[in-house]
Amino acid sequence: MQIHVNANGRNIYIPIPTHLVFNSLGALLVQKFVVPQVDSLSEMTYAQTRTLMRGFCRARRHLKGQPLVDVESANGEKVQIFL
Amino acid sequence: MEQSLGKKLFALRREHGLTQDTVAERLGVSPQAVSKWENDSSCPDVMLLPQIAQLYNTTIDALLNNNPEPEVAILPAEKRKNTDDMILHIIVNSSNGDKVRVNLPLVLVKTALEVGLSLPQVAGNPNLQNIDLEKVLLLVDRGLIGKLVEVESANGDIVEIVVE
Repeated sequence: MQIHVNANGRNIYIPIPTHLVFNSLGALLVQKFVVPQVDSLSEMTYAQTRTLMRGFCRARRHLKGQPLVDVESANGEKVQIFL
Repeated sequence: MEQSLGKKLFALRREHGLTQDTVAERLGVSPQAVSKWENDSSCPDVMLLPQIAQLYNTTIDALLNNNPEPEVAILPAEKRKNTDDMILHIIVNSSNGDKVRVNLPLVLVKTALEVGLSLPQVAGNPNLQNIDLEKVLLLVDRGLIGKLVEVESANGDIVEIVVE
C-alpha cells in the first residue's frame, strides 16, 4: 500500500507494509485507538474489524497497485492511496 | 463519452490479458509503436487493422466506430468478471472544483455489508443516503455494470457510482 501526496509542488510517497498493518494485531489496535475516535465507526466490533481487514488483504491480492482513493482539490493538491 | 482508438486498444489489450510486448510480437511491430497507439501519439497502419481486429476478436468497424458506448450494460454470464476483480467507483465532483474518487474493491464492499457495516462514503454523503447499496450489488451480481447511480445535488455537486 502506498500513499502519494502532491502539494505545493512537492511529492511525498509513504509506503505502508500492508500485511504488517492489516492483521489481527492491527485490528486490535484499530479497535482500541481508532474506532472510539470516529463517530461513524463507533459500533464496529473487533470481529467486524478483523473481517474487514481480511477482506482488504484479499482485495489486495487481486487488485494490487490500484488507486483506492484519489482526491484532487481545486487548487491542485492531490492525495492518492494505492492498494 | 467518446472513446479514442488508443483507449479502445488499451482496454482491449487489458481485457485479453496481453502485454504490449506480446501484442508487438504478434503484429510484427515494436513495443514502442504499441505504446504510442495506446497513448494516442500515433495510429496503427491501415494495413495492420485487420490483424489488430483479429487479435482482439473484434471488427475494424468496432475499432474505428466513435459511437459512444452505453453507460450501463448487462453482461452475459460468460463475459462477467470475477467479483474479486471488480471495483466500485464512487466519484464526487463538487461544485467548488474538488474531485474525489474512491475506488473500492467489490469484495471489500461485500465484506463490509456482510458484517453489517455501512460505507461512510455512501451512508455519510447526503446525496447518497437513500441509496441501498445491497440492491446495487444485487444488480451487479446479475451482470449489470457501468454507471449505476448519478445524483446531482441542488448546490451542483455530482455524485456517481460506477461498477467496472
